[in-house]
Amino acid sequence: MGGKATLILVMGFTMIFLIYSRNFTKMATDTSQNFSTYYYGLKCKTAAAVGINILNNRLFFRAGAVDTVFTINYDGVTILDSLKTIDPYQNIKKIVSIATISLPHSAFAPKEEWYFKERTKVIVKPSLFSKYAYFSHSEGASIYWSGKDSIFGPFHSNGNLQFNGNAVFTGLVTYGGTLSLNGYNPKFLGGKQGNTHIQIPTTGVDTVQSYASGGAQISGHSKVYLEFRGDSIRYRYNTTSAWNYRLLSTWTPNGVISIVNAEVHIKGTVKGKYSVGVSGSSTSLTGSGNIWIEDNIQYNTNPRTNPNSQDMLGLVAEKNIVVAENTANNSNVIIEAALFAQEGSFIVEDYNSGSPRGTIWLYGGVVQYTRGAVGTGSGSTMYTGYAKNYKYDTRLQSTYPPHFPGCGSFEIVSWFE
Amino acid sequence: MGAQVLLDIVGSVIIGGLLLMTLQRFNNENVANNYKYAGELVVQKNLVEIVKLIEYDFRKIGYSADYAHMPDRAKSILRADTSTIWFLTDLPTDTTSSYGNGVLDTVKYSLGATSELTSTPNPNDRKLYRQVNNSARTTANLGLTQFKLTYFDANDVKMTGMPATMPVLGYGIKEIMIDVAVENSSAYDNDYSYQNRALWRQIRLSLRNYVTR
Repeated sequence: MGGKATLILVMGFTMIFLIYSRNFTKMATDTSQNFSTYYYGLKCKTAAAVGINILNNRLFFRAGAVDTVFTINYDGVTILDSLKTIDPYQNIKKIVSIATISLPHSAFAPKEEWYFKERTKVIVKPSLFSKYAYFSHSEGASIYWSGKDSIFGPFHSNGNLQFNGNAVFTGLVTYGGTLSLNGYNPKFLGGKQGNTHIQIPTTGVDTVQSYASGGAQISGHSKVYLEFRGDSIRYRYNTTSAWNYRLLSTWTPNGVISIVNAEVHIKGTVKGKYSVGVSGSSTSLTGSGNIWIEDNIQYNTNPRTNPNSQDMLGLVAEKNIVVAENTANNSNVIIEAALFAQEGSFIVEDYNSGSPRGTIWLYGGVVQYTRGAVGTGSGSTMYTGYAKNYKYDTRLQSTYPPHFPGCGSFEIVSWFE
Repeated sequence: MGAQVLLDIVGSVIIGGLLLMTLQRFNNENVANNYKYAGELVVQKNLVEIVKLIEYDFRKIGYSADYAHMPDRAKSILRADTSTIWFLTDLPTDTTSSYGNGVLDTVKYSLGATSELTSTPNPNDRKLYRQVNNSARTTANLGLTQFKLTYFDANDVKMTGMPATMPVLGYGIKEIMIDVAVENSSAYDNDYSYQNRALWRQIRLSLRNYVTR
C-alpha cells in the first residue's frame, strides 16, 4: 500500500514538474522566437535593399539598362527584382525589390511568424547637371575660395580647390583634384569626398538642341537678341531691326529654344520652364556659342517667396556665358537660371577694369568648364567687377529646365521601405 | 495507544509538514519564475513592437511618393532634440496607395515625463508619443524607460546644441543613433534593476531619402 502511494506521489510530482518545465521552456522559446521574428524581418528588409542595390549598380554602369524582372536566391532569401521605366520621356525608372523568407513550419509558431516578406521601392531619374549649385572642370590656377564665399547646395570640381579664407559649403562637396586649405578652416557642412571625377559631356548643347523639333529653333544668323516678356518672347538679329514677337506656349511647346551657330544676347522676365541651347565654335568671348546677359533675367514668380513657382530657365552655351559690361548691368545684375558653359566659363566682361559694378545676384546654379572671374578685390573691398551673392535654387534638386544636359548616370530620388 | 503509534503520528506530521513546506516553496518559486519569464517575454515583445514602429517611420524621413513635393529633402527634419523629433514624410495613410499619396505628412515623436505614468509600479517608465499631422497624439504604455536620439552630421561628427530647428539643422543631420530601453511596468518584487532592462540601439540610421545628393 505504502509503495503504491509513494509511486503515485512521485508520478504526480513528476507530472507537475513536467508541466511547469514545459511552460518555462515555451516562455523561453517565445522570447527568443520573438527576436528571431524581428531578425528575419530585418534580414528580409536588408535583402530587399540588396536587390535594389543590384539594379542600381546595373543602372550605374549601364545607363541604357533595359526593363527587366529576375529572381535571385541568397542565404535563404528569395529576391524578386524588377526594373521598369515609368516615364519614357524623362527616363524615370522604378525599381521594386521583394524579399521573402519561408521557414519550415513549426508547431509552436503561427503561420505569419514563419513567412516573411518585405518590399522596397525606389525611383531613379537621370542625374542632371542642373542639380549642382556649382560645378567646374577646372578651377583655374590663381582663383581662391575666400571667407566671403558661401555655396548652398551640391558642389563639384574636377580641379584643385584652393582657399584663402573660411568658405562655407552647405551641400556635399566632391572634388577630383587636391584640397589646399592653406591654413584655413573652410566648413563642409554637407561633407566632402575626394577622388571623384565627373566629366562634362561634349554633347550637352547637342542634347538640348536635339529636342528642337518639339520646340523652337533659330539658325542662319550670327547674332540673336532674345527678350523674355512673361508669356511671350521677342527676338531679332541686330539692334536696329524690328522685333519678332511670339507666344511662348505655341512657339516652343516643349520649352526648348535652340539657337544654332550664333552669339546670343538675353534678358527679360521668364514665365514657365525653358532651356536656351546655343551652339557655336568661337574661341573668344564674342562670336557663336556664347550667351551674353545684357540685363536682369528674372522669374515672373519669385521662387524664394513662392516655392510653388513653376518658372525655371536653363542657359546652355557651348562656349561662355558672359555678363555684359553695359549701362543696365553697371549697378548690380540679377540672374535667375541654371547656367551651363560646356567648354567655357561663366565670366564677366572686362571684370578687371573700370569701377566696381555692384553684386551679381545669382539664384540657380553654375556649371562651367573653367572657373571664370567676375571681379577683383581684397577682403571686403571690390576693386573692379562684381561681388558675388550666389544662392542655390533648391527646386533644382528635384526638377530641372527642359532637357538640361545629363551626367550620364542615374540618381535615387525616392526610397520607400 | 502505545509510544510506537505516537511516534508514527509525530513522524508523519513532521514528514508531511516538510513535504508541504517543500510544496509551498516549490509553488512560490514557480510563481516567481513564471512572473519573471512572462514579464521578460512581455518586455522583449514590447521592445520589438516599439523598434518596428520606429524603424517603419524613421526610415521614411524625407520620403514622398511624388518626389517633386519634397524639393529640398535636407529640410525634412523640422525639429531635432535628444528625445523629440519632428519630420516630414509621406505615410501610406489612405488605402489607394500603399506607397503614400504624395501629400506630405508631419510626424512627431516625443517622450513623456515619468510623472505621467504614476499608475504603474515602475517609477521609470514613460509614454512615447507619436503624432501624425494634426491628429490626436497616440501612445501606449509599453514600459519604455529610454528613448534617446543622437545626431551625426555629414562628417560623422556628433551634433550638439540641441534642440535644433530649421534652418540651423538644414543640411546638418546625416545619421541618427537611436537608443531604446524597455522595462517591465510591474516587475516581480518591484525589481527594476539595470540587468532587467531590454536595450536596443540603432548605431547609425542612415537617412536614405535625406542625404545630400
